[in-house]
Amino acid sequence: MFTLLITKITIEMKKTFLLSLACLLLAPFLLQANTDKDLKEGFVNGDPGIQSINSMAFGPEGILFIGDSKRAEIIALDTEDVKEGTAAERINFTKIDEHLASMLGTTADDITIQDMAVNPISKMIYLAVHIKDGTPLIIKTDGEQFSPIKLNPISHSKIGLKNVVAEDAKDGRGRPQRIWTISDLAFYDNKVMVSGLSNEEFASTFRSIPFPFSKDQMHASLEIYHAAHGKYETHAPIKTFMPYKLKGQDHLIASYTCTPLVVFPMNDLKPGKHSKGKTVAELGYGNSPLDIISYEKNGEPMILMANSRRALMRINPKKIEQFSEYLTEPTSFEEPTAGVDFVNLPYVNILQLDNLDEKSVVMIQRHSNGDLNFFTVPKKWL
Amino acid sequence: MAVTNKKFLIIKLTGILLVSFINISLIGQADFKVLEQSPGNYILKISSSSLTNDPPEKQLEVFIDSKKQSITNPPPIFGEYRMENKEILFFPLVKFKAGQSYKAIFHFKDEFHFTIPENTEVEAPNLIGIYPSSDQIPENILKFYLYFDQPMAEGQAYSKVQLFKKDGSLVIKPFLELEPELWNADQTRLTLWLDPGRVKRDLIPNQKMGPPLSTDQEYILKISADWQNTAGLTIGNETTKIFKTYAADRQVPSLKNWKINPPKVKSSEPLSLHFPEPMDFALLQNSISILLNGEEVEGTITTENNEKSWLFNPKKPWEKGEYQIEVLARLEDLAANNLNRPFDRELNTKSQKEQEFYIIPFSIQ
Repeated sequence: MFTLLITKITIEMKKTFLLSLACLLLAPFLLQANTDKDLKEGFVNGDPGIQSINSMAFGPEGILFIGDSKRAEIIALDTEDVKEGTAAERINFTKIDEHLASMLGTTADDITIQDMAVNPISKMIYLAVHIKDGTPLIIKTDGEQFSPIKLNPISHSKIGLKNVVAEDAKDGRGRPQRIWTISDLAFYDNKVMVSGLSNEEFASTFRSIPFPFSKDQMHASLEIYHAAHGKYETHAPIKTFMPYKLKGQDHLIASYTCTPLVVFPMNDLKPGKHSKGKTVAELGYGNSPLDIISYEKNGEPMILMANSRRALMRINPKKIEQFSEYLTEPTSFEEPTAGVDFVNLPYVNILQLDNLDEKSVVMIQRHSNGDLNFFTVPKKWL
Repeated sequence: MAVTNKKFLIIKLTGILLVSFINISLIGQADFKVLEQSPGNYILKISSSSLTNDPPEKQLEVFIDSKKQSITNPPPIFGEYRMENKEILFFPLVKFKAGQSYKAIFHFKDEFHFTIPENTEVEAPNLIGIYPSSDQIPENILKFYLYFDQPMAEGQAYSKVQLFKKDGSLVIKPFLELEPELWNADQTRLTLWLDPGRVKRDLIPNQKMGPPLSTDQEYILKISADWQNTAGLTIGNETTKIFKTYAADRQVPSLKNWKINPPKVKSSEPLSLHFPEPMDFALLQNSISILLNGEEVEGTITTENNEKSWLFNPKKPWEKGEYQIEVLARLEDLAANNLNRPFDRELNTKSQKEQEFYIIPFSIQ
């Protein structure tokens, strides 16, 4: 067995050496290749076998990334929706759930809108819908016309989150794989970033997966903590996040299930490392963050965050940059909010949020009378 | 067309018959049929001599016919149309729902109403387990698990579970309303979290509202009778769980306090582990394994004594040897303290070195 181990190590070393040599020789070409890499390389036409759509995000070239928690997979779909389009001037659709349900031959109490994503090229809005029996669907709209996306056959590529071989398998023995609900995903810098929420342990995972997907690749799998008031730290789940440049450096702005807003420099996120983010704000109680986006208001960068039990919040990223103390002191009872200030905007129960174009944001809101409304808001008002 | 070979006639009405009541200015006639293509999957077939060469979606539209709808002019149902030999076949994108009424309109005038038969084969779901099973729970408990015997519908959980104090008053929003809800893959187990912001010390929710539960109090967890499964049937009866709280648990579970009862050689009796406190039921199912010479021993797991005992029943009788119990560090107690760290850790205290798993050796002689 000892000999076997040595042989294995030697083979691994040889592999690494050959790989390094190849990289060295090919480096100039690879650099060249990286810039005009075919993003749809490895896509196949067929049934991606989608079982649930918990999160969606658009990448370039009309590629729509889907987080399927039931299958524990990330699926990249080629929507072929690559024709430059102009966004609707104004959308104001009341009872969107009844309209969608009617199109699907059922009633509004039978459907849930899981996520919404805007194709930045065509400006078409994609809605992920689950029917009560679990059937997942995607419906595309320009705000007036609705059409379903045919999910079989479709050109796609996918990667399993279960098959990640990381620190989890030090002894080489297969262990029961953890089940993670995909809480959010984003495409940034040729990587698909995924945050996961366990339905068993209280923990968070964050993965960075190079795209196009390939079989042999290293996923960065991170355990992320956040510190509160310099006193306690918790290994808590991320609910929504956004890659963002702060002071010219790539950062991850993440909001946790218990609503602290936490900032991580991307450079600090390394596999196997205990990454501790800095809490820059606490945004309220009894609340779960739902969505976070960045936008420009009168030429100034801004951040918008939707919450389950709080109004829509506007945060100025400059204040995050200027915030140096990172909540090192405990907050007092008299001042329940802490850290970077935020502006509560007059939009409550915003369930979905995305940039439609440079002028407006599209939202889905549960109105106090129970209606689910789908509408645009000019950025200058936010 | 293969479909026509498998057809099973459910309803047959003619356009003339219906139109004679609805629309007296009938031009032409249409014959509507609802066919069961495969069990529970229905399609619509329209035969008419007045079919034109227009695209079929311009000649036939299908709508939901529901009193629950409040919108006027609902849009037609998405589906695929096939037209051949004076017939249009309509395959809905999402299968027609059992018990639901629909209407099809041909050439904007001939209306045909139909109702999909109820699915009599589906039984009502049952709530089969609430964990922790103990009626003594730490005040900083983080999770409840609800187990059902059938896949349940999404989007209902937070309106179907309520927590009351002994005096009957409602505990306001004790659970974190996560979107999406935390179901397992087959939608038979729901994880409910008590708001972690309120459980964690020193976060604003904790300071402002206090923890969701207090020490030494009696609570009643109520699960409502009208929770539906994916087929729309309800559990039918209300379930309650009464429990009492004890002081917050902020201690990392220590393996030193676990008792092991090793089984006798050549027996098939279970190996049992006994903990001084209840552990997380779901995690007990998959975070402890038994190894012999580095290989996992096959067997089944059960828990007893309100999750204070873990039993491993081997598939084959126990062999003589030096065994290892491998416990993954992610195993938590009821307050989400795992083997590496407490739920919330004071930063000025020295933390123990984190390991992925812990080993407890035992031998069978």
